[in-house]
Amino acid sequence: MTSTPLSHSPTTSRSRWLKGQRDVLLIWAILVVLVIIASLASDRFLTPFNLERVTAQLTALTLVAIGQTFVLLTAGIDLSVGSVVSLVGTLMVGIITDAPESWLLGAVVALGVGALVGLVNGLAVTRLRVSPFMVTLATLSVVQGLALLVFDLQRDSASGSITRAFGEVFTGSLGPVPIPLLLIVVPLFLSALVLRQTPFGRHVYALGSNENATRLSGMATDRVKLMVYVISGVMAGFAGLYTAARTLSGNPLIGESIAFESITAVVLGGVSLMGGRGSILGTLAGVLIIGVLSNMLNLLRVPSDYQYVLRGVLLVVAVMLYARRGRLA
Amino acid sequence: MTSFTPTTNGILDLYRRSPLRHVQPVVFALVGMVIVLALVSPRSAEPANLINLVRQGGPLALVAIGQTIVMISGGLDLSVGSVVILADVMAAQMISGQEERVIPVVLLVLGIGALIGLANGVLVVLLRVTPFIATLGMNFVVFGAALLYSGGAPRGDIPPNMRFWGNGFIAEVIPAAAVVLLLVALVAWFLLSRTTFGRRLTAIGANRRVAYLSGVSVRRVTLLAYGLSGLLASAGGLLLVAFVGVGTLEVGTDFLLGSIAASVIGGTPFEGGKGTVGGTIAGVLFLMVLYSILTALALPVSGRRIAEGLIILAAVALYARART
Amino acid sequence: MRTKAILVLMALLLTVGMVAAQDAVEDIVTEYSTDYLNDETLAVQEGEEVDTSAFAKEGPYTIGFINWSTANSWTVQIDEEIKHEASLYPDIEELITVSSDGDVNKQITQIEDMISLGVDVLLVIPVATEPILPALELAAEQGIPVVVFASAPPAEDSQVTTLWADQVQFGRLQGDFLMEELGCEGNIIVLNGLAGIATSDLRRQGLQEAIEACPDGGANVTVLAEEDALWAYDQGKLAVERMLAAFPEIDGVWSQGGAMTQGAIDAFEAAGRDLVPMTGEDNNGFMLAWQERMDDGFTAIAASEPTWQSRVALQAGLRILQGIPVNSFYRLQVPTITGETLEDYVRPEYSDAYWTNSLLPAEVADEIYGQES
Repeated sequence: MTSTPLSHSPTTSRSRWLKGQRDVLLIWAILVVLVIIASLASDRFLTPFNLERVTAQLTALTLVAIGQTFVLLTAGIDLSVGSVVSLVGTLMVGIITDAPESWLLGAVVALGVGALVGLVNGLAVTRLRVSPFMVTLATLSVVQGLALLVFDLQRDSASGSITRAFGEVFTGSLGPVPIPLLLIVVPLFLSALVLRQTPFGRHVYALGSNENATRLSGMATDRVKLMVYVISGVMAGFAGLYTAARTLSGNPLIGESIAFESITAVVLGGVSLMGGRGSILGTLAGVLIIGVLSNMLNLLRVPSDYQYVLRGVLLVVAVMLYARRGRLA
Repeated sequence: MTSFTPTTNGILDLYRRSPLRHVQPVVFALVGMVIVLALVSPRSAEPANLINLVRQGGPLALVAIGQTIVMISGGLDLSVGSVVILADVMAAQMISGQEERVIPVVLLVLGIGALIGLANGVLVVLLRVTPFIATLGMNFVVFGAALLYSGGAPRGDIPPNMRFWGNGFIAEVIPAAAVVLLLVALVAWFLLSRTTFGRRLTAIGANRRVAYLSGVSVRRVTLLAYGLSGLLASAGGLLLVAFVGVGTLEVGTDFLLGSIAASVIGGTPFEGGKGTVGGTIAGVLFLMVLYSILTALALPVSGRRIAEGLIILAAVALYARART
Repeated sequence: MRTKAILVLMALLLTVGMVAAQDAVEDIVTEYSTDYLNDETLAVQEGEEVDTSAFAKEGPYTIGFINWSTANSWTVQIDEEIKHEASLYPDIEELITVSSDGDVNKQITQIEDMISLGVDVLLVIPVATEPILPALELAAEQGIPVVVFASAPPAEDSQVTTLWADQVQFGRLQGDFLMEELGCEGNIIVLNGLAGIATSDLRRQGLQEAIEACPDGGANVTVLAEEDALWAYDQGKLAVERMLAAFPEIDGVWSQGGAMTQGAIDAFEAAGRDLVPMTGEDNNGFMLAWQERMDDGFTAIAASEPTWQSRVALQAGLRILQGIPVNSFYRLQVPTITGETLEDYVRPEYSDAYWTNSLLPAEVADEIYGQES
């Protein structure tokens, strides 16, 4: 999306920018086609109730995918986000009470835990020079263990579930606007702004395009890398907070699939695993494609075994449609 | 890189000048892990038990070698887990305890695995779908196929002549599975380090564009890499079903994360361009020793997960220093 | 006289007519199938009677069923049982079944999508209890009755009725057997399903109770090692191989069941160690392995989580849709299989994937589980 500051000639930077735009346009076009198919195939799809539910289903994934976008843009990967979601949920059970003061504390703890895990990831990647895959696979395991530990301790004290009032803060609506929608739109807007308009954002792209050149150009690559993992951790913490509110409980496994799904969404949205290319707008399309696809298959009453096959085929076809256009072999 | 403390620097210097520098770092990590195992549980580190680890890791090692080949080319194969399950279900159902069916069915299943792999390759190379999505989609399709093929209720069992390769011992000490692994590893090693295919694979992973411009048939080599991964994943499934004895959809081993982790631990970077068969096998054994250590520590599940993560982090951090 | 006779005749006709009319609104469950829900040998009524008249509606019905997974043989058989039961009723237009793949988040999504779809009744096997409550409440708000069964029942009344075979009791039965075999003394190893999954946690809790019920509070029982083996053969066998390597003295194996116990048996034999008492479940594979080794002195016990419960859950759903009262809770009656009763349950002609506490008719089971020979 944004041109890298390292592109030497203005023409290459311009053509790259255009190419980025084209990818995003195409992925959105695919989403639109999918939505049209879904609404033609099922009269339930475009009902307010269903759309509201799909939004609620995708909020946590969107938040995590935003963080994952930052990480993948630098050619990193964050597998630990799911465990963070789980750990935050289990912690919230112990913290959130009927008193609204406790909600603030909960939010601080949730984001703090996320930031801490992100910091550990970032430090291990930059200081120990361990590959991001292994670092975050290791922290996935550690944080998952902590979630299980907290869950076990809670079972002994039988503290139970989270107060309904807290849930309503996140799942209700602000005037006519459902809050989950706000929780999707505002972070998306802010992160797109950061990536496009700030020096930090440009550095993120530059780092993924060519790390060595970027380092030689004198940029503090380690600081940028550290930051993207912290961002990813914080977003996962936020998603954990939301999930706790949505489920009014904590569960040590609830985040399990979100890491993989978020990577899928981001890649679907056009971010390369090798970094440097892609955008927040693409990620949003990726998230929506995953959500609409799953919702559509359910509304069409497709049994599970055929759902696997269809989901696989549709995923590949969706990407095929836009991948065919000019990319180097 | 960043400056080390004098002592670390000295040791690293010594290491870099010694003949040991030719030994892959993962080997040190593996030796270190075995020492830890011997300290935690001397019985587990007895030769017979250590040899047994090779057998336990056999199916994962076959899959991981395929994953390494794809990763060297800069790709990724997320479909391996489902291919293992499909191979396992098909083999059990088609063999159904009949010894004489083993060879034809094994060949057929390997062929199907290779075909799935080639289909991945076609998606990646010809249709230009990113490897992540292409193989993820294939993963769903193949798992669905395994469910549909078995009707959800796999049947059939594996006759003794095939079970031997998963469970048996040659001369009562050498696990048959280790022999299978050794043979596959030799062929793969030869392919990677003694043929033009291997050189081209590395070239593609190191820089696709340069490889393309210097006349490497990027398409053919990449296609072959995915084909091999599919083939080896089905081989892993066959070894697994020989170990289990009956067809089952309930495969608890995480072949996907396991195979990628073993490759990365074994020195294949995520972005490709290098990697060795020996390193990957050492990576698999590293994981097997790790699980033995965790079992011997007898921690509750939560503590186990925490220890698992910390040990992986410590080990890879230590040898990441040696590598640079 | 004549008038009187006519009157009597009319009264008689009226009575017959009323009886016939009553027959016409007769429960479709008893009309097309066997009533398992009110069979005390299968399900004992607990809780209170629930007035379901608000849910009463005319057929044909669309039934939604969310299974917690389909990648294991138990869940597959649960699917087969409910499919067969549903096929008996002309009033059921469609049975929609989906699988949550053991993923809580996915299950919440599926519950919401089933509400969007407007199913008439929703049957759910929870992956975990608390997290799906808000989604179940949403179903209730939308007027969709919910039947929850297996796994762990939600504590609140978000569902109309619950059918449950006590999972703590399941683990307790296995544990009591093992404690008795060991005389409350010795080293045991533990194979769990997956921590955080309700079924696995509750069964493990049952073992703890059994250990603590020992005369000395379980002071002489040591849990040497404990692993999550996902109810799968490969992980069960690998875990026990590692445990055998690490621990020279193992006196008993408490396995939650599934194919894990078979893995444990094979691991002991491969290591050349004498078999010790083990616990398992009523899956055919384990029971066949057990039967084969009984003469060599191998002792075991099989607890059961019946696959017929999906049928009973469907019957409860159909009763609710007809406005017939149901109870808020049904405690499922489950046989425990011991060495003496093993022969009555084991099915040599079927594959390992068959679960023996089933109400699948023979021709259906033959079709699915019959072994080619």
